[in-house]
Amino acid sequence: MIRFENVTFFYQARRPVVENFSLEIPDGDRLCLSGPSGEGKTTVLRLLMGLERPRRGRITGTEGLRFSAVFQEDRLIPERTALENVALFSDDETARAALARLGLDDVLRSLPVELSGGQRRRVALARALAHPCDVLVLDEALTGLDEAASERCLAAIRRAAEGKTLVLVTHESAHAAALGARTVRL
Amino acid sequence: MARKRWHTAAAVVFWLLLWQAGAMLANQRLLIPIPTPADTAAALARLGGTGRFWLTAGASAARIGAGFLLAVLLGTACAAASERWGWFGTVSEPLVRLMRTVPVAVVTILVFLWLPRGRIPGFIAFLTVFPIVWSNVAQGIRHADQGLVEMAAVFGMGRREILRQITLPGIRPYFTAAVATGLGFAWKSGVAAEIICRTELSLGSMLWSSKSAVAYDEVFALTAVIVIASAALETVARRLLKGGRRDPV
Repeated sequence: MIRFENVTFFYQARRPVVENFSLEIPDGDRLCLSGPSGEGKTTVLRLLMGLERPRRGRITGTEGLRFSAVFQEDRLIPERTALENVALFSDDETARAALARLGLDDVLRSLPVELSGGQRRRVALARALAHPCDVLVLDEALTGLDEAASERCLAAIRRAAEGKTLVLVTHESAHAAALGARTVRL
Repeated sequence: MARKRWHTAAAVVFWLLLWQAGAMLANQRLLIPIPTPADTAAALARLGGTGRFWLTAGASAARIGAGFLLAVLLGTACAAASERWGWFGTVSEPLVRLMRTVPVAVVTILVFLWLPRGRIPGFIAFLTVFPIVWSNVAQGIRHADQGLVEMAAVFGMGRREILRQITLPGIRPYFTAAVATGLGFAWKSGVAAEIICRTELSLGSMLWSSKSAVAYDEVFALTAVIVIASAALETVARRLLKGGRRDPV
C-alpha cells in the first residue's frame, strides 16, 4: 500500500503546488488523478516516483517498488531507434511485441526524429508497457492520438496493467472509465 | 552526395588552373619564380622519395599528436570537473580565456625561455586544443537532457549505466566537434611553433630550410603536405568518432 500522508510540496515557498495531500493507493489499484491544469497532478506523480521529495508530510510504501512511466513529454533517446528505445528497458523480444501491439511494427528501425508525434507517443507507451514493473504511471499518455490509436493503446494498457498498480493522469474521463480506474480530484 | 563531390572536385580544379595561370603570368615578370602546381607536385614526389621526409613528418606528427592527446584528456576531465564543482569552473575560466586569446607566436616566444625546442610544438598544440575541448565538452554536459536522465532513473537504471547509455551519447556530438576542430588547429599551430623555434627533425624546420635555400617549389610542397594532412586528420577523426552511427534521414 502506498500512502501520501499530509504531503506538501512547493518549488517556491509561498506557492505550494501540493498542500496537505493525503492518499492511499492499495496494491493493484487503478487510480486516475483529475482536475484542472496546474493543480499539481504531475507533481503528485513525480512525488510518487521519487523524483521530488515532500517538503512536509511523508510518502510510504514505495520502497523497493519498480516503476514504469509515460511522462508528459515523450523522452525518447534521439540517437536510438524506436526498437532500441524500448529494448533498452526490457529485451528485444518483449520490445518488438509491445511495439507491434501498438501498431508500430513498420517503424522499428526509425529514429524518433523520423516519427510523427503520435508514433513517438506510442513508442513512449510501448517502452513503459514492455518494462517489468510493479507500478505503471501514465501522465496524459494518450494525448495527441486519434480514436482508433487510443482504443488500441487502451487495450494494450489494460493487458499490461493486469496485477499491477496503475496511476494515471488524463483529461479524458472515458479513458479512465475504459481502464476501470477510480478517480481522485485534485 | 556524388553530385556534391563532383562540385567540390570541379572547384579544386578551377583553383589549380587559376594558380597555374597566375604563376605563369607572374613568372614572366618576377626574378624568383612562383612554383606552378606541376612544379609543386614534382617537388612533392621528390621529397616523398626520401626517407628523411617521412621521418621528419612522423616526428612532427608524434610531437603534435602527443600535445593534442593530452589536451583532449585533460580538457575532458577539466570540463567534467568544472560542471561538477562550480568553483573549479569559476577559478579556471580566466586562464582558459587567456589560452584562447593569446596568439600562438607570442606563447611560442614566451615558452622558448623555459622549454627545450623539441617540446614547444607539442606544448603549443596542447594550449590551442585544450580550451576548445574544455568549452565544447562543458557545453555538452550542460545541455545533457535531464528529462532522459530522470526517465532512465525511474525505469531503474543505475547511475553508471545512465552515464554510459544516456549522458555520454548526448555529449558525443560536442566531443566529436571539439576533436575534429582541435586536430586541425593542433596541426597548424604545432607546425607554426616548429617554424618559429626551428625544432630539429620537423616539417616546420624543413620548411624554413627550403625557404632559406630559395627552393620555393619545396616550400609549396611542404605547405601542401601540411594542409592535406590537416584536412585528412579532421576527416579521419570525424569518421572514427561517428563510428557506424547513422544520421537521421
